[in-house]
Amino acid sequence: MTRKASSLSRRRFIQSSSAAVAAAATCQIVPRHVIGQGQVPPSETFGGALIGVGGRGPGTYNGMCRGLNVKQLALCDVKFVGRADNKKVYTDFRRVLERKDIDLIAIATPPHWHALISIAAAEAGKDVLCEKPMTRFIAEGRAVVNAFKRYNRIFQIGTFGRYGASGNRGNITTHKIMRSGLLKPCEAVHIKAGGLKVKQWSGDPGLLPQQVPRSLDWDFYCGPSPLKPYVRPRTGGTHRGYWDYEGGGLSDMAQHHFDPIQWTFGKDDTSPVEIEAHAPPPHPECTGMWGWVELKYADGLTFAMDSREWGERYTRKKERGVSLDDLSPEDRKKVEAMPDPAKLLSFAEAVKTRGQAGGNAEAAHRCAAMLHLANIAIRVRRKIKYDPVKEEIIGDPEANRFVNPPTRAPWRL
Amino acid sequence: MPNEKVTQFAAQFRDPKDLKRQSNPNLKQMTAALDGLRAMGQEGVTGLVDLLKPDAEGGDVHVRHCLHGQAMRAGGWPEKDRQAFTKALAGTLKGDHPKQAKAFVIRQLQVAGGTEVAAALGEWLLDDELWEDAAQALLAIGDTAEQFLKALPNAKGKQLLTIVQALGVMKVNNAAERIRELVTADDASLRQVAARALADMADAGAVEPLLKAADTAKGFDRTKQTGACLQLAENLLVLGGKKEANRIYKHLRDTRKDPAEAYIREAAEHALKRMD
Repeated sequence: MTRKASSLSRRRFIQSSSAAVAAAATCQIVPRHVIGQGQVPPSETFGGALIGVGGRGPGTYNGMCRGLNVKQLALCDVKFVGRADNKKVYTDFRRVLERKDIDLIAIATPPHWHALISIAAAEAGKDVLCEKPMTRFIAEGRAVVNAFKRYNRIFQIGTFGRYGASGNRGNITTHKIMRSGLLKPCEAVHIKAGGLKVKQWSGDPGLLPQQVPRSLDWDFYCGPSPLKPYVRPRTGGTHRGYWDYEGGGLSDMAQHHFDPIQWTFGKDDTSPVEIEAHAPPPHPECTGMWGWVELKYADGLTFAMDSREWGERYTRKKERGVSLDDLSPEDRKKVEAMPDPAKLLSFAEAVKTRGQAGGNAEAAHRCAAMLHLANIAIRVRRKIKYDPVKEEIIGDPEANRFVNPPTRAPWRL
Repeated sequence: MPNEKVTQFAAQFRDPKDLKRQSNPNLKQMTAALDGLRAMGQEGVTGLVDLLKPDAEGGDVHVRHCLHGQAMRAGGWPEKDRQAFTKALAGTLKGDHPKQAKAFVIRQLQVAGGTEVAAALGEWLLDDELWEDAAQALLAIGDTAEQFLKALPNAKGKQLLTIVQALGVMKVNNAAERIRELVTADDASLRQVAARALADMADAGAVEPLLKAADTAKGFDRTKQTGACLQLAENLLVLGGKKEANRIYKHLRDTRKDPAEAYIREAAEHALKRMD
């Protein structure tokens, strides 16, 4: 579903990017603010920065630049200790956001930083393309939505499957049926079986603390998450297997898989209300195995994730779509008379027109919330009920603590 | 001496690394171990804590997994049982276990504890190693302001930062006077945390100090201080403080003349329109 990633290697990207940053420093870029917000500079050139250069960094940055003329002005990573000059290369994203000549920020840090940097970027007047998963926990998503609304900035999540899905005739019909609210109850079931990289992105527990590399600011890396002893797998891609930074393969992959499905079934503005999982007792630090998760919306629509990597298979329900035949003749006519949904704007189109991007903060948050709810059900191993308006788990205060866990000062949503 | 029965139960939790390699961990075996430990009551809890080791020593991954598994289950138990579990757990904080074992216990109280363990956690808010774990557990539990207020007068450095942020998150208005003094602190992080805490509290008395701080701040500090002003205005509005919110929005609209801050001016203008 993702657009094809650049074949450029990370090392080559950073080398060529550093050179580009140096070259850009000698060129004159007219920043957007000089001619007023919402206006494209005459040169149509935007100042860009990448925060978090490892792993998905190059792909995320290239995704941000697609359709725009962007000069890369800054690279930032907490592993640049000893390399940073605070002109082109930074360790502290706050210094990047201070720059008035930077309009666009690509964020490809581990997910525990996504929300805080996104919010800080919006507060500094920047537009953002943020790698998936959007967040580490549910309350972060709402805070991002509020910040981008308050400052009227553009947010786009770094998964693009919904653009293709929203052009498919069958999906458009499903979307219209669901958005009409005429299908009650909805018996549709979508099952994602496999492809969630459960074993691959399980953590590596019980390692003895290691020496922090001299090039890494470990305290800054941990940021809002608890400061734990350094072990190498907590960084460099394998961070995915630690609850402090992400939520395993489920968090890493499910936003890809479910974002287009969420659009198709018209659920960009709500969340499941009942979530149940089959999983063994969770490890405190590391993500681990699970069998399946069932997520049910208020109208009856069911999404299920079947890991195919542990335990029982999901057999509660069978895959089932929706069609116009599910409606009465009268309701069918009403749906057929509905206009097609508006075309989803790409990040570039949204930046230029100041419209809302297709993968906007609310939609991305609702999808991320779905996978966080799945992980909460996996961890507490009891059925949870969720209020999609208040965004709280109902009647289970202990489970609800995972919706908005405390952050380490001074980092605050 | 380790409790033999507890040791045997904990051994049912294999190293989760094995789970990655084996497609079928013995869920039945793990569940039976947790049930057995629960039936042992306080002895089951203290016995497990006794098996915890310092991080640098290791070798207790199965114990941590087992204790966490039980803490996660406790939330689903009848209140009396949950409290018995968390009180037993909190009781071990008085013992002479290694600090890192205590940190782990505190993190389990964050998962399963209620206000019944607040006082036990509050004792660690000014501890050089455990303050952050204790603060996060108390915040997660909620309704624990008393512990933070008690620690505030003696808190310094990062502990002060943590406590001020916590008081903001919990909207403890009666700490506002002290926190207003910190808006002009030398440390930028403390200034920003203090400003945001006052905004969280919807402290009407903070309007002028926050606007002044935002006007004089530079760079990222200015961004965060301005953000705190906007947050304060929104929170004041929710509580009916239209006059104060109006003052904030008009000030930002009228003073943010730099083109680079046009988006702040626009945000203030939009908010004023919404108020009409």
